[in-house]
Amino acid sequence: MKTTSVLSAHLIDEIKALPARYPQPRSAVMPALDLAQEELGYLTPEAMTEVATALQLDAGYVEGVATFYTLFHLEPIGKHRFYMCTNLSCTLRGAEELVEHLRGAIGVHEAGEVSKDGLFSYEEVECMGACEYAPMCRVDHRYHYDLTAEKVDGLVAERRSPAAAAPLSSSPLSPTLPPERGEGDKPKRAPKKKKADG
Amino acid sequence: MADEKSSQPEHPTPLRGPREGVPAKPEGKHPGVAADVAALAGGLKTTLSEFFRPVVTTMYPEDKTVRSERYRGRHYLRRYDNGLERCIGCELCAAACPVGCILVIAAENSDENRVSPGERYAKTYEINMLRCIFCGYCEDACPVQAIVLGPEYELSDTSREKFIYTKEKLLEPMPPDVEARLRASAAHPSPLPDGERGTPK
Amino acid sequence: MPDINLTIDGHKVTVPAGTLIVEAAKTVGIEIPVFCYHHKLDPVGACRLCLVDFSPGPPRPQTACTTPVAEGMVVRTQSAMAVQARADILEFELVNHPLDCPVCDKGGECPLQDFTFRHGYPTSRIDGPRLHFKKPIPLSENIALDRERCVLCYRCTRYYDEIAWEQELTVAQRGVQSFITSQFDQPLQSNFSGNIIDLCPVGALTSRVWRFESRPWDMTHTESVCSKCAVGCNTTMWQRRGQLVRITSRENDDIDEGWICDRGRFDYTDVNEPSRLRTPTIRGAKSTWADALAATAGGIKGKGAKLGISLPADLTNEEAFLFRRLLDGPLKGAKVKMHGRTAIPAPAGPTMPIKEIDDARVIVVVASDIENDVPIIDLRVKKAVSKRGAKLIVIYPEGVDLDRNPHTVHIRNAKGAAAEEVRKLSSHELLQNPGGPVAILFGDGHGSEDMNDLASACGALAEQVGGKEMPLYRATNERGALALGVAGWDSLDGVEALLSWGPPPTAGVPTSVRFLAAWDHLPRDGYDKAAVVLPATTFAERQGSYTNLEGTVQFLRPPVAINPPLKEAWEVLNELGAALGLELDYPGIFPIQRDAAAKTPALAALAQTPSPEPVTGPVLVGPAHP
Repeated sequence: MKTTSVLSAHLIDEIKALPARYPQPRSAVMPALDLAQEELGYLTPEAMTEVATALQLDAGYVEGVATFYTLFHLEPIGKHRFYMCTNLSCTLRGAEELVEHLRGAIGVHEAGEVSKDGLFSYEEVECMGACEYAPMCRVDHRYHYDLTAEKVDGLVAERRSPAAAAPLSSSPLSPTLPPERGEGDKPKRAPKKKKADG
Repeated sequence: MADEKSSQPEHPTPLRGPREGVPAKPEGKHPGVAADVAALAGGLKTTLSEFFRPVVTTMYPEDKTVRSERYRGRHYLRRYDNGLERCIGCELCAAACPVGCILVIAAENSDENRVSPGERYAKTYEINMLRCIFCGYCEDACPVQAIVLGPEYELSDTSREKFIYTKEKLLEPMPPDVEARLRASAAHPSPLPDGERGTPK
Repeated sequence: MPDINLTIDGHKVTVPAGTLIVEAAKTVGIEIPVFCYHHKLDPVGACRLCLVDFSPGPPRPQTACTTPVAEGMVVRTQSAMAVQARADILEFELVNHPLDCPVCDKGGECPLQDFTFRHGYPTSRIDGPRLHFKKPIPLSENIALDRERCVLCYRCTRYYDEIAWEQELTVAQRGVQSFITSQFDQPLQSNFSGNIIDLCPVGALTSRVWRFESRPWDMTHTESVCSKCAVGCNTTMWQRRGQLVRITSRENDDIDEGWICDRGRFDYTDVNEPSRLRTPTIRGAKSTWADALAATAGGIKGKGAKLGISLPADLTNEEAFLFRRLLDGPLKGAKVKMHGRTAIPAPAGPTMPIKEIDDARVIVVVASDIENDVPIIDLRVKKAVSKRGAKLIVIYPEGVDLDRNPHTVHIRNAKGAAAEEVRKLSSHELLQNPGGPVAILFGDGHGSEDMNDLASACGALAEQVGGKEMPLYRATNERGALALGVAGWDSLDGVEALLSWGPPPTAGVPTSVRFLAAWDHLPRDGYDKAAVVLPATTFAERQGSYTNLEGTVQFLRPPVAINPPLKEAWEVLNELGAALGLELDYPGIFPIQRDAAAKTPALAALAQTPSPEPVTGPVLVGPAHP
């Protein structure tokens, strides 16, 4: 084991336990990378090499997987990343203006750029399956619906103040992503959609 | 097998007799001496009339005939306007050459030593002019219009070795009229669309 | 396996069950174009170029490279649907492929070119911008990568994964943006990386050693044998203007299966070295062969045990036979040391053929850094393990690349104690009921093992578990030299005269040497002090034969003509023998071969003189046939 490890020891133990859950041990590479990214914010070659070592894989294979998925970041990202949906429904409901507004609010010029305080970055993504609440975005593993410029400002402000940031970091990677809904703005799910689900 | 041999087919083209196909002599009496003299005079009249026509003989080498615009004489290797060689050392000219008189040895361009655009250039380019038949296939094959056949045909020299035209000799500037014709000619479009790598601006 | 009858384009074909359509079509000479399919790799169906139309089956084109034959199947490769499907796929392959065939080293032997001519549309409709990458990217010292030319067939990454058990090469990004990359852009380390050049069906992976040296059509090629180790892989050597410009693999399923290691592929530039020795010299002054050989004979004659002889690893059977005659006669008693040889004794009985490794159920590798000592045997072992499910036991003090398989049982012995571990093995659980043949491959631990002990331990184990032994000789013709008794293992310390053939002795020329005769192809340090320097030929100019580690005799064919005053080694030995007073007057190599065959039972194969070079058809798809 290397003396200076970029991943914490308990995380490496966690990664080592992963392959047992899969019929093919190499399938564990994605949850393992997810854990590593959760800890470091993004994946460095060193982190990928350590994941590979822990899973008894070649680093090249891990790198191939990491570059394949856009949700694995290979460059530093902001502590909070806005995934702004700009697919059809959201765009029709003003997503592009919201992205424009977000850029101003967090002080960046383009997608992927990290704000000066290192807190924020954003990315335009395709449909996240919540068109009925368009425009929407995802921040810190939560969906936020029916966005307006004020709501975006609010999301930015509560993450900027340290008090608000504390509870968020307490729940890293939860396997399910329960949508965060206020009582008032919780529209009924369209029955048609439910049918399709069933 | 033996049966086949014995029943060989006849010769495909039957042989001709000695007089077969030759027109027969006209029948009848000889026309006479007067007719012979008249024929002679007719011939001499043509000869004499030529004395008063303009001279058509070209006094080579003092005078030279007009060549076709597309005359295929000695080869030239061209350069781009920025001075880089056009030749990329692909050896397609050597492959197309029916007599094998072209030798190309390629090498790789580097940023320190850039000879041609792109990756590859001709380190050695030699044409054996004694062997060349001036067919122009090399010019046809060239993907970058690097080699062209110029108008010169007076290629005599004093030793065989001097007929191995090296790259330096082939890169000599072309006569301006040939260069102008090549530039004007729509038959020589740029091999790559503008902006594509390999064609310098 | 039962045979299956089917019809391909009206031809009746009978092939074993499980054969893929693309292979069945080959048996009747029908070409189905392929990029991703390679007969040594598992089918993947990535490129879709092999589309054919068959019934019974779905009414749309299907990939011939992933579909096994079925009884009564009717395959149509030339139906309008199949022809158009393949042409359309080729059009897609060419969407981003640059038009730089004139500068591409693959041009002329490129399957993409050939298939486009034979199966594609004559003109292109693509006028949009193409993907651009930086090019060429050096993947290693020997290999250049051009991502623009890549058609993403994944042959290279699959080869690395399946055959070489490494994942240095990987696909990054996805979809149209995907590209081949080495792990974190580090140079490739593998000893087997060069094979991806042969595998690549386009010009994306090219050799940097051969880069722009020549076009395929202006080389001649000669079917020969690699001279770098004892495996004896078959190679094709390519010559242009008297120079050896390229070495590629040549498939021989009994030995190499179409793979060669990087040493065999790239380590040849010394043949073309301008500084090579061409004329004999005596004390630095140019001389004739007669004078130089007379001087050599004078210096080494009658020295007995005070004469040392260093032999190259790649001396041929014929040269070894002539040397045997010198050692029996005028040079009797000389100390002989052969380069690179192992301490493994001559085989007592028959040894295991290389191809039988495939069928082994358990493979035991003892005291050999197999990846570097006998690289292609390493690939055989990997194939037996990963494709045929053999179990693997390794006994070696250090890590080896076979450890990449997590199921490998690696017993790390103390140096010199391999024999002990081998004796313990007979009770190992894997060998209790192997369920088939057991292969026991043993080396000499690079001199650290007591070979008599280890060889007898391996022999005993083979008897107990019903296995076969394969001694892993290292030096190219070690087995042939052993059969002729010239593979010496003597120390050269204290000798007064030294005949150094090939590179100088690994321990250096002993200080006690007063007369040094060097016979080498390259000038090296210390040769200015030599009494006589004789120019030697390389493997590219030599005739003769090698006996590989399994005992197969294979003939070398020289791709490069020998330039006087250079002389072939057998001729020099002949004349040296005469100068030493021995009656040697072989007029050519064939009489030597006949003589050697008659006198040495192990070289009986030499009696059949090498067949004339096999006539090969036009190379349609490059050195690695699909």
